[in-house]
Amino acid sequence: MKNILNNHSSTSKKMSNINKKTADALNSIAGIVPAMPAPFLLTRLHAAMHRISENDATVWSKIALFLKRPAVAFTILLVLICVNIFVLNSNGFLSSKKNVVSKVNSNGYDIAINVTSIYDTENQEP
Amino acid sequence: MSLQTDTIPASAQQNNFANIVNSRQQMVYNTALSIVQNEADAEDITQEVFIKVYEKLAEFRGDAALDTWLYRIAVTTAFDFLKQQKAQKRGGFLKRVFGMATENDVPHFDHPGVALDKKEDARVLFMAISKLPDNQRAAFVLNRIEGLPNKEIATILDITLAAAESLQIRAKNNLRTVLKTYYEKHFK
Repeated sequence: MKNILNNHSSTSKKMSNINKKTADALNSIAGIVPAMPAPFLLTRLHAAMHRISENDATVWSKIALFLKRPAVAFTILLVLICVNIFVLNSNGFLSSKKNVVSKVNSNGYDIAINVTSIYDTENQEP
Repeated sequence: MSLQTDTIPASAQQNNFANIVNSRQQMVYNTALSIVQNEADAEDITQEVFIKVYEKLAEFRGDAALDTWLYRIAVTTAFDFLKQQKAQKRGGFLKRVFGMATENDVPHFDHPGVALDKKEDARVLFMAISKLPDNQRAAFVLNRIEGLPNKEIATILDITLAAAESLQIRAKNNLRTVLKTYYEKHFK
């Protein structure tokens, strides 16, 4: 009997404690002080809006923005230089001076053998 | 506060916007923080709210009070953020469909504005608040943390005054139930 009474009193004590804790928790936000956001919100807002306006830009401005990136600009420049070198090389402009001279000479020889001199015109074979 | 921004030049509109941000940032941030219970997320939501405000400032005719309008945007943006966050969680959709979603009953959020001696109780209360349905949570936060009367809460949530009062009562009853269950489990 005594045990039952003890159990009952401990249960009721626990319940009253729980009720008290619940009430304390519900009242814990009474007089709460408003929290402040991190400083410079307006500056961050302007930056965020700038980013959004960049994202909302037209196709041409997006292309321009893409090309403006240093990595892209340097890559395009390198590709252009490589293409130029390839074209010049394939046209022979970059071959050595000696070859150029010999080519010129050979051309000169070709021309020379076709020249008709006075001797040739006077001594024509029948 | 009445704003007729469609007739205001751009520079004046910029000043107007800057004034709104400076005077209302605390209000918006605090509302978002109480709903999402995470400082970084609340910062993001505050930014998003003011970007929406900037975009819609020209459309705002002053039919509602500026504060009410801001609260409405803040509450909607915060709940949209929470929905998006839930949807993005790995397997969240499947868990919800098959009822496997585990309720998080670990108090984790410390509101920076709560007094030091009440921190622990407030942490448990915020855990309980996070379990409330959206409309009850909004009504409770606006009333108990922002200190708004039920009439203004009704305007913000676009419901009747009676519905706002009913939300408050149901929110408190649900909180009491969640808190009792928590303390029965954890209080010795």
